[in-house]
Order: sequence, then structure tokens, then C-alpha cells
Amino acid sequence: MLWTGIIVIMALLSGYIWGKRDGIISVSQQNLLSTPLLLRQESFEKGYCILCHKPRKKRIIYKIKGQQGGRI
Amino acid sequence: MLHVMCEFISIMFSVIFSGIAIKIADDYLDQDMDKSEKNLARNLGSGSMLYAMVSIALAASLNTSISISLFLASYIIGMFHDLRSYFPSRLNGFQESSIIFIAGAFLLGWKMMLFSFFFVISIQLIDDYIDDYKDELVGQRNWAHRIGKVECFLLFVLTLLISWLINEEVFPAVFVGAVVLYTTILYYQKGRL
Repeated sequence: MLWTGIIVIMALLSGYIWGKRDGIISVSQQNLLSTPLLLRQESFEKGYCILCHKPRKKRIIYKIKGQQGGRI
Repeated sequence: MLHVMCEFISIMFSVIFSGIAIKIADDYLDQDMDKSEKNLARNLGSGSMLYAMVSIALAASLNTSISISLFLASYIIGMFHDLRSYFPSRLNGFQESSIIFIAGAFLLGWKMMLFSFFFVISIQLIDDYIDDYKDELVGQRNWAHRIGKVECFLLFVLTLLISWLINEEVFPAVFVGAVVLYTTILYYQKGRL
């Protein structure tokens, strides 16, 4: 009875730790891939780089504002 | 039947008295970090360690092997966070813990020492599990914070079952004594949850 309990808890614990570790690895890999894309998307939407706050190409700003594109 | 009940009660009170001694000693060491009024050693004043000594003496007179092994196991587990630090004995935490474990196993029997070791680990884990949020705020060392809450709880159950497996005869009385003491301490330190 006690042995069964110990084995069950050990299985639960190892499964939990394994799953958590796996989850952390997959989420960090996913973040590595998706973060640059999200940064670019946000920067395009706002019209400036959200990291350095420098304006992107002006045509992009015009396009976002619904105006005709074209460099100045 | 009466003999069995008397033994159960004596073990229970032995655990309670040794638990009080451990609690006072722990609060005495944590005085600098714990400035609250709930600190037992602070409330007892400069004589707190004497109360701890009286308490462990009473526990030892009721049941020597259980009380002393629990006290030694608490000392060893208290060292877990400072295994590499050097102490006045010029030994590091790991060396001191090993020597105390071997001495305890030699004097009280390896079964009792191992039982106490796992039992005290389980108490430490459930205490850290309950105190996780508070310790995180205060910045104290906490196993639930270090290894995760669920892992901490599962390890608590595991170590409790292992201690039960090691010494099935004394486990019920020790467990009841520990639960009585722990709930009393929680009641005394109302509001720490």
C-alpha cells in the first residue's frame, strides 16, 4: 500500500517536472521565433521602431495613415 | 491496550516538546530577519534558549530516541541552505551535517535517524509550501519558491510516505504530535497565512 503510494507520487512528480521542463523549452523556442515578428508587426503599425523610437521609412507612415505612399 | 495508548501519548508529547525546542531555536536564529511580534524567541526574551533546552530535556525524558533524532534531523535540514558555508567548528555545512547524521545513526539507530530525517524534510516542505508567498515578500530562503509549489507539495507527500515506510510503528504518534504542534503554532502566529 505504502509502496504503491510512493510509486504513484514519484510518477506524478517526475511527470510534472518533465512536462514543465518540456513546456519551458518549447515556449522559449516559440518566443525566440515569434518575438522578432511581433516587434516588426508592432513597429509597422505604429510607424516607428518600438525599441529605439526612430521613425521607419516615411512611405510606411503615409501608408498607415491612409495617404499615398512615396518617399519624400 | 492501556500500555499502547500510554506509549502513543508519550511519543506524541515528546514530539510536541522537541518541536517547541526546534521552533524556539529556529526563531532565535531568525531574530535578525524576523522583526515581527510572532517571533517566539523575541517574546520569550533573553532566556528563550533556556526554554528550548528545558523543552528538549522534557522531550528526551519522555522518549529519547524520537526526540533527539528529530532535533538532530532538524539541525541537519537547517544546514541545507548553508552546505558550503563554514561554521565556528571550522567545518562546512555538509561536513557538519554528515557528522551529525552518522553520530545520530550510531547512537540512536539508522532507522530512527532516517525516519526523523525524512519526517523533518516533509515538515520543512509543507511549511515552505504554506509560507511561499510570505517568504517571497520577505526574501527568505524557501523551497517552494526555489523548486516550485507543486513540486514542493508532491515532495512533501513523498517524504512523508517514505518516513512512514521506514518506521511504521512510531509514525502515527509522531504524525499526530507534529500536526497538533503545527496547528498550534499556526494559531499562535495567526495572520501569517
